[in-house]
Amino acid sequence: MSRKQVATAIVAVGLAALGASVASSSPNKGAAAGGKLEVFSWWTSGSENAALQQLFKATKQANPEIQIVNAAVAGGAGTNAKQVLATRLGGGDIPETWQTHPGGELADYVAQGVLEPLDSLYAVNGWRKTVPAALIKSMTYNGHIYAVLVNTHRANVVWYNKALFKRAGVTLGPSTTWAKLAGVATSLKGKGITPLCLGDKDIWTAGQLLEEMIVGQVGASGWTGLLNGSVKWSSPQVAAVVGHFNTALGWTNSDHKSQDWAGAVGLLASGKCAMNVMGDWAYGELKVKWKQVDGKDFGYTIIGNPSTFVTVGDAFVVGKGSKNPAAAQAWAKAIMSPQAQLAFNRLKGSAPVRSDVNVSSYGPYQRGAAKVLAKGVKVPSLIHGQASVKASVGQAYSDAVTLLEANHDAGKFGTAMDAAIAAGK
Amino acid sequence: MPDAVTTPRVVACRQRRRRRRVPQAALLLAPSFLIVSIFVYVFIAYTVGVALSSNWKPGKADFSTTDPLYANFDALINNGRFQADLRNTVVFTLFFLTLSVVAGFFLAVLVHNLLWARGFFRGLFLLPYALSFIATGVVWRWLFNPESGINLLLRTSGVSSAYQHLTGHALQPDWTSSPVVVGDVSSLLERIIPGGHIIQVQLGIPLALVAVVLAASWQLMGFAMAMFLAGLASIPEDVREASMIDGASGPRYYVSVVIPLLRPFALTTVVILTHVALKMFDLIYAMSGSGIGFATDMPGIFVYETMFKALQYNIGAAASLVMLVLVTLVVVPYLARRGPQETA
Repeated sequence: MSRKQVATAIVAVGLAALGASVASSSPNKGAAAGGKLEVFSWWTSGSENAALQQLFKATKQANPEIQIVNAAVAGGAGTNAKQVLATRLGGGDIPETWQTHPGGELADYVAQGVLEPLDSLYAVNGWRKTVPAALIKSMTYNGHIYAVLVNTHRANVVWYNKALFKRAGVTLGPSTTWAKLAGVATSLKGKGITPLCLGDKDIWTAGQLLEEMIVGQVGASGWTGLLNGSVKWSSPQVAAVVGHFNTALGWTNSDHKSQDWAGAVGLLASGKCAMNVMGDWAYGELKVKWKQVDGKDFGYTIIGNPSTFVTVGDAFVVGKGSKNPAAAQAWAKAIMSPQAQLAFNRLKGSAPVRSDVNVSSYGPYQRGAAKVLAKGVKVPSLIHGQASVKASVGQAYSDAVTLLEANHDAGKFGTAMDAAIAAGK
Repeated sequence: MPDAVTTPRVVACRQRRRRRRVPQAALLLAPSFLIVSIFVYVFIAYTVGVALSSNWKPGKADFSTTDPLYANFDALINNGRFQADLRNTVVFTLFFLTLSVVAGFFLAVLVHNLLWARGFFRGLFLLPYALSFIATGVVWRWLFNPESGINLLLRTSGVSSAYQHLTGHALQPDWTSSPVVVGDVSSLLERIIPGGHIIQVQLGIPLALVAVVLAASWQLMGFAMAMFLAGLASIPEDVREASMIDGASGPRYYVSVVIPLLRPFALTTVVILTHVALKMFDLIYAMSGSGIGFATDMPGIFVYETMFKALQYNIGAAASLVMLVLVTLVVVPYLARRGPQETA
């Protein structure tokens, strides 16, 4: 082959590749006018995907003409999905709907101007009457509401192994205090049982332990004050809880830095340690994976006021400038239906956000949680990005807990958090 | 004879051919030039814009800058976590390079001198390099779990109790769970350097990094070995014979002849491994995460979390530029040094 031929061949191959890429990208653009609905989430694990399929089913039933495209991205507890989504938003390729957390993360999307306000949907369907006001507030910015919630998990639950409690001769009621927990831990240690299960390879589990201890101690109003800056993290009240947290770290399984949250739940189920502070996604893990029976194998209690519900909700938004806005509105309406909420939450282990959903077919734990969500006091979880503060405050809290595990210094922790709250308003 | 070749006609012909070659070369280079300039240099410039911006968001590309211009970098320098990350990068890079290059060299000498099964052992030591960092990260996480893996081996083999007889306490290291930092020089630096008070972390060697260094070196010493094997194969047999005749045998031959001849290979290995170390992310993310008190945190993990968890894109971009500068400091002098030699 002469040089000329080589050059021609290269140009030809290049043009062919260009043509192929144009051809492969065109069907997406052409079909957008049809009924395609792209749902962007980070629900990819077995139970999560099964629950998500219930939302798809409800949407298809109400709108048979809609074709749903499941654009779920796995990994990093949603961080990988957010990374992909950020790239798409940057390129103006906006999905019809995507998963987010009410609070700082939602506020960040609102500030970018990529969301449609959903006020009229709420007004037409009367959702303001059925969704608890605290949850409505967490999705409202500049007087407009921007998301629908499909579920709410409860973060402030202490799970315990009943067999180990029996062996140590200890019991816990529906609520507990630090003093009681410390007594139980001492008795457990006396029997050679590791009192606390922790899997903080990812720091959020330790952050959640401290968060639920603080909420339990300072109460809902104190927690709200800590989030809005009217109560100081450097106050003696918080410092005392941090001291308790340092003590509690000494009760944990020695391999806590190598375990993740599910590993810690596994240690609880197999009797390696007695208690675990974890959101009620642990309930599904205990029941489905470890075949544990609610009330027989494991029990649960709340630190502090038992009617305080620390919320971890999953919301969906409607993207502004997507290809099929009508389908996105239909999606929001369908997943808020009582049937969809009932079916979804049964598989996800969380509580429906609508207080008019009949949950009598759920197990005892979920019935109780749904009741507290409807009637109790709701406060947002900071470590799970639900609070109405900038996302950077949640990260600052994670970082402060990471340092706390090394230096056990309540003073430094308090100063760092006060600075973060002031900067994150 | 040469005069006969360079007749005016031949010269003209050559010039024509060269002239024809210029547009062809340009045509062939254009696609890669275009792709590299867009996907590397334009994006670096874009990242600089984000790093200087006060509030850039993916959905709202706002490039209005901070006041002062370096505010994001200032925030970064004063961030205790990022300080710990830089400390970890330096400590990790030094130990990882030393261990993997030295171990790789000895493995190469060993394999090179094997009389049988050379291919088998070469493959055996190179195999870890073919694995994904995430896979090895998970395996090493369980090996360094204080309850299982290596500590279990120490217990059941009796090493732990033998150590207890000697020193009074059992040999059960915390590995990645250790919060201890040894050889802290930060208070010393604070006294020497003006403005040293901004240092918020203990500038020493975090013991938790030891486990990570072991894992990373295990994975990459096979690569170093392959590089040195190539180097050893390039040394002609006459050189060995000549040095034997001159009386340099055994260790002397390696110290005086082989090691100097392997220097270019060592340099290439060091540069490649340094850029791996500076960009280390996946192995640590899977193995230990940030660690207690950021003992095993890395700039890569910081960038990832700052951007996609804290949603502070400008600070994350600034941190990624710091990483870029660190890699550039290693790679550019190497390329600049190699360039003239190759053309010569």
